[in-house]
Amino acid sequence: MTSVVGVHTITPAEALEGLSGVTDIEPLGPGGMPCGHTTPEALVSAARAIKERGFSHLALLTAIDGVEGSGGLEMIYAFKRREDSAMVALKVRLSDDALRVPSIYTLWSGAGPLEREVYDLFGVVFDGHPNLNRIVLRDDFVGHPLRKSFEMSGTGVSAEAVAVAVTGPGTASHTAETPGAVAGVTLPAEFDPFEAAAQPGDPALHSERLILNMGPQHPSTHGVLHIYLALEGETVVAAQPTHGYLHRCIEKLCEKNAYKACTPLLDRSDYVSGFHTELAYMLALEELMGVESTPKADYLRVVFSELVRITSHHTWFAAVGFDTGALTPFLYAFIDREKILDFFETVTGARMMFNYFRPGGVKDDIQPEAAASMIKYLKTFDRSMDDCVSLLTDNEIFRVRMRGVGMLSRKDIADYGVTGPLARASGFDHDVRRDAPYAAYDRIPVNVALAQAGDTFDRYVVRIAEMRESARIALAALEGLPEGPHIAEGVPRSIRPPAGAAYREVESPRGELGVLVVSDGSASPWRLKVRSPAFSNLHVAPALLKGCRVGDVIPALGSVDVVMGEIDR
Amino acid sequence: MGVDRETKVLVAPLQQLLQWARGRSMWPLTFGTACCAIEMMTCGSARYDTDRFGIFFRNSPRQADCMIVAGTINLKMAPRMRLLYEQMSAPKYVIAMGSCAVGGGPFATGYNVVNGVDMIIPVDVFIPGCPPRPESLINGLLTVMERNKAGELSAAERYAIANRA
Repeated sequence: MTSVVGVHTITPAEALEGLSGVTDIEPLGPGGMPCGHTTPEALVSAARAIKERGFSHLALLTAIDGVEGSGGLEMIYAFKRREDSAMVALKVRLSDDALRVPSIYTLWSGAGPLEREVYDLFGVVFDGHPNLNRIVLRDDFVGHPLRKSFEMSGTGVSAEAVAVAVTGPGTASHTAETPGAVAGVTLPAEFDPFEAAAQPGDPALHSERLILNMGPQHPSTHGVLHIYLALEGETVVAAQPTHGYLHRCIEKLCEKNAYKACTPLLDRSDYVSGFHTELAYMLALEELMGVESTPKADYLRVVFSELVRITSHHTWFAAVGFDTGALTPFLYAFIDREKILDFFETVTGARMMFNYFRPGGVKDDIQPEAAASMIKYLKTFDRSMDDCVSLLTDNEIFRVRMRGVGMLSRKDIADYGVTGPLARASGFDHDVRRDAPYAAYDRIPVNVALAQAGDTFDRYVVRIAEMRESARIALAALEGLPEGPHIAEGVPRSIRPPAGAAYREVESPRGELGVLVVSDGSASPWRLKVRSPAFSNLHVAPALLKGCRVGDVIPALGSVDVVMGEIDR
Repeated sequence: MGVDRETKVLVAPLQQLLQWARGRSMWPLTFGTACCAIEMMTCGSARYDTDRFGIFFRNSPRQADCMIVAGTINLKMAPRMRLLYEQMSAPKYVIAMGSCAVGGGPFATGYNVVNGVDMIIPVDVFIPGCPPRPESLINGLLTVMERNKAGELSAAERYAIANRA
């Protein structure tokens, strides 16, 4: 079922061979991708060579604080070949007195924001980075929280700290004219809207350039997203997203919690489709523990992943209506969404925060009546979908608003590491479910929806097709549900996986969602990293919005389908 | 409140009229930050339909009577939340929706999360749950409306009176 790969393709291990400065090639964890070790000096040339050898998608860029108390930390870079989802990784070990590594920003524009995140949370300095400043935390935050040396108080943020945050310096300067004066946010230098705004305006327009702050409280930013727009008349000349308004310390809290207690936190990272983060975490954990889930659990995981994909796209569908001024799609989409949430509630006990997947299977078996009513509903799904799309697809106003707006070229997609429906609408034929099947996707064929134009309307078309396909997959999985236990025998109640690392990806409604779990053999993860697809998708915004009219910013941004919980974590 | 027999004009003390009106239409500000915002959206959908209670979500704080803080507030968001609260015109009410807004929720021990919005602004109604069901939020909104009808003071007013001295 994997894509056809050319005859001259090399294996992942070969991609690392013979690179200068890359040594000790070993798998990352049991059965993981090959991972080479390199030095800061050799990093850029090694990454460039790997990119030229076909592994052109930067899948992961993060750091792991020193395992086994050895001090320092490890940078980890994972690269992916889009054709067949083969992956390789590079590790760079840094000591505490020299937390510096060259930036690979020149190779992938998408690396820029990821490096800023590592700088913010770990304090690693990236040489050559154009605007290395905090990305999720406030500028006046002290310390780098994901370092092990950063101690949390145990009682959370003090009342004094909150008072300073609300009334302290900088907070009253919302209308200040100086760049970056809004509380605790430094403006990035690349695509700097202030710099762009300082340029003289178009003489034909007889106007000055203008900065428009959109968000963080805005009905159409789909969460607490803040975007600086530099405007020339009606046209956006530069745009820069700023986020961190929902950074909830999920990754640090996971390090303090038992493995099982991490699942509820991960549910809340991508709160519109909790099952996907749960599933990626369980797959990584199972790989570490050497546990296999049962066939029935595999099928149930597929059923719920697909149903939650539908509800996530329902939410997006409602929002895309709002964005273009149509309120009725919201009412229609949420009728169906509620029906599916009822199924979730019947089986898992929760509408949104499920905590349902377990290592080796799922928490509860599905009741036969619930399965029967789900099958009955899914058989009528296409008809209710027809009702929904009849409101928008053939609506002349909607089509004019969406066609040719927010174009993304294939080059931008590759450069920024965009995945999911956003990439598929630009003709990137890539879907983790089909290319690297997990759970029961190797037994249930997946038809990947594709479009070529790469505009906002094509993203709409792709997502609508995905919803119908998801219903078909869920139906097939329910009808083919095997007999047997819903959870594997002999999974220990207290989870203590052997030391090692595992990285697994799933296809979430927003793209490749990966979870990296690093264990030191204790009862809580040493490091837990969520590779957020929406993070990379959001940071394509400078390319996406440049040249848009102000009115088109909203639909273009809406078509990215951001979930801030997952971006900020 | 009554109708004057001769002029056929409705006569009532202004305060009573305002209470009557406010108790029947409460316009909340959509201030969703996280997961709870999805359940807040659901409240306006066909199944829960808050419109039947006279509850319409407004996007501008200047048009809103009531602020629903739906989700986690962290140190970066806190000044914005206060700014929005200050932009609302009196009388104003605050509903803390969900565990995070009530007391930090599952992230209470984190290094970046405000442990309850009542550390920053006076709160009228706390709604527990993670996230609370839409029915809970409707109940919270109705509570605010009932208090309004009964002429009770809002938390902001009580706070102002307590700090007058």
